[in-house]
Amino acid sequence: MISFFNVQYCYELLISQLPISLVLYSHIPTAVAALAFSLFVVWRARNLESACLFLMCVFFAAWCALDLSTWFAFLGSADVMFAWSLLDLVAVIMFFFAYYFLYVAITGKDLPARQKAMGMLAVLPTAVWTFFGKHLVAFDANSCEAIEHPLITLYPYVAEGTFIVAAIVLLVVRYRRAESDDQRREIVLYGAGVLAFLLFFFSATLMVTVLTASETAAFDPYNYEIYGLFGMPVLLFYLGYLIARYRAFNMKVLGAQILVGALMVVIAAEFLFVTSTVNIILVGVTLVITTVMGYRLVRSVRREVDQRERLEQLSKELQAANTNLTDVSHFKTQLLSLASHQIKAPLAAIKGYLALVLEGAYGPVPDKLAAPVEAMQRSANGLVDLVMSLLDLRKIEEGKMDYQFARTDLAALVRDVGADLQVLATEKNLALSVQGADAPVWVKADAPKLKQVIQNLVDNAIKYTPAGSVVATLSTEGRNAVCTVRDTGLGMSPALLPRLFDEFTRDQRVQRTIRGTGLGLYIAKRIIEAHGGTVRAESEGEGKGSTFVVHVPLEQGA
Amino acid sequence: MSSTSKYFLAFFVAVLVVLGYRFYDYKVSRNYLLEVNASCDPMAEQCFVEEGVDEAIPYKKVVVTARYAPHCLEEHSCEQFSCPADATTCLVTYCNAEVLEAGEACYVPESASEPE
Repeated sequence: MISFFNVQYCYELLISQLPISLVLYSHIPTAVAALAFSLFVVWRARNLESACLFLMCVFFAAWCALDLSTWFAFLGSADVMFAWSLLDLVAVIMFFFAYYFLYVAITGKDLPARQKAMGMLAVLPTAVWTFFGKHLVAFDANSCEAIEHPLITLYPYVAEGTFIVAAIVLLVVRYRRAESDDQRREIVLYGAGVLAFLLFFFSATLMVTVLTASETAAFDPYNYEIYGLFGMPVLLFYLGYLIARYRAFNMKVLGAQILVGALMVVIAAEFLFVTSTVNIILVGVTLVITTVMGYRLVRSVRREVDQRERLEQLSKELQAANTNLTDVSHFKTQLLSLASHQIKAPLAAIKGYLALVLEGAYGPVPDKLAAPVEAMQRSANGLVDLVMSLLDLRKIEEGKMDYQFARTDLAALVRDVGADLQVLATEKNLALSVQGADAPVWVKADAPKLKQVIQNLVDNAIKYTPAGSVVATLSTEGRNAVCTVRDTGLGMSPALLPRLFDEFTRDQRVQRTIRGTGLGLYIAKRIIEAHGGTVRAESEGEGKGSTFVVHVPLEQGA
Repeated sequence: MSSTSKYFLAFFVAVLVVLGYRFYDYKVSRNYLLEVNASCDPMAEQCFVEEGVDEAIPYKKVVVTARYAPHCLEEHSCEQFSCPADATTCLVTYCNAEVLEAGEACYVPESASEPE
């Protein structure tokens, strides 16, 4: 029923159209969330992208506040006219900053001057009409609404539509130019968020204008307007995801922070609904508890994320150091190999000539010369062993050790080694004996290399045993042949045992008194492993002798 | 100051000017038209009434610059309105067949409708 325009009339008209709480809920939390979010972002990021987002959100919040004023016409017609007159201008500027933000976000560059000028030019007509107040015809006290100019009021939609089209074109062009899938995903996420925001707003306000003009709406067309604001939460969701997943705005914000923030906004928004004192207290307590627990949760998650990031960083550094070490090791092997090859030939010549000299090929060797020449021959032999070990090492490390597996009598090999080194043992007054090698023990092996291993073990036993005995024993155990070399020598400390088969490992006690390369056991282990066997060392301690046990698989069917 | 900052500064100054002038024009000067239904004396004026409403209140239509109709503004009903002499815009529409809109009728006093 028509009444005269007054406070009570406009208030009753408003509440007859839709609940006030819905108007408040659609405007206030959305505007506060947008402002809080953008303020947080601009405070943390302090760059052009965040500034554009902030300005866009400021104009959005301003639009919400102005629009809310137009709903509350009972506050006064002058307030409504003032607020209503600014709505179009604020909306068009908001669209301009939305486009500006999108451009900076997906290109990483400032908007070109020409586009800035065109954007401002698009805003200009609305600004001029707003300044002169030409877009509002009058205030209708019967409907408590301003009457808009039927033509001028259409222009802001043209400007807003232009910004939307420009945003779509920008997104398509940038998507096509993107160089990686991550870039494309970011463009899609930014585009989806900004377009959802703009299209929600644009379509809702346009619908209001069209329905108002056609007067066909079942109820007050301005009721549709509130749905246009729900694009903002969609945009905030996308931006939150971009920050958490892609560190948009160069910000490190955890998903937990965004979740807690959103939860607090939702709970705080309940204040707009609740009316009873009990409910207000309950919502307040819930908000406080959520804030405290959320703060603790965020701190805890942040600590874990920091630790994980530190570990990832350390892992990367370790990987880099490892790669570097591998390169250095490879370079070292190459260098050793080159040096060994260059030394091997002259050494062979020296060794050969020394043998000829000692055999008397160049006439009898004077007594005074015999001892030095023999010393030279021993040194040359030592050097040849070293060179051969280095060459074996290179082959093993490069996986180029060539094995010729064949049916081999391990017992014969052990007997040969015993015979070969008997002279050496006798020279040191050691009792070298071979046991259990009378009957053949067949294995599939590279005979020279397997012999090299046993020879190395027996030779070591002789070298490191000042007095006593060395016993090489051969036996079988299940499907394995077992060769044990036991001595009564220096023995080993428990600390040395685990490292004994590593490269260049030697017993510190004898490093200067007994010649060795520290490579023999390493090479022996790798050769035995290539035969599918194992080698291990045992010792009850220093001075208590050592035992080396080699397992090699018996030949199948043997 | 960068060129972007200059653009923004000029932009915001312009927006503030618009905002300030609108505030002055509407809030301070009340320089806008008010369309309002004012009370109408059916014995002396041709009044409108809503169709199909019992005990409908007769009214006349007034379009007036807001500052010339303080009683028609927020706090008061627009009763016994007449255009002020100094009003730049003040238009009172009385009921006749040419200005009737949907849902409206011209008020006919009961005494006039009774047979003599």
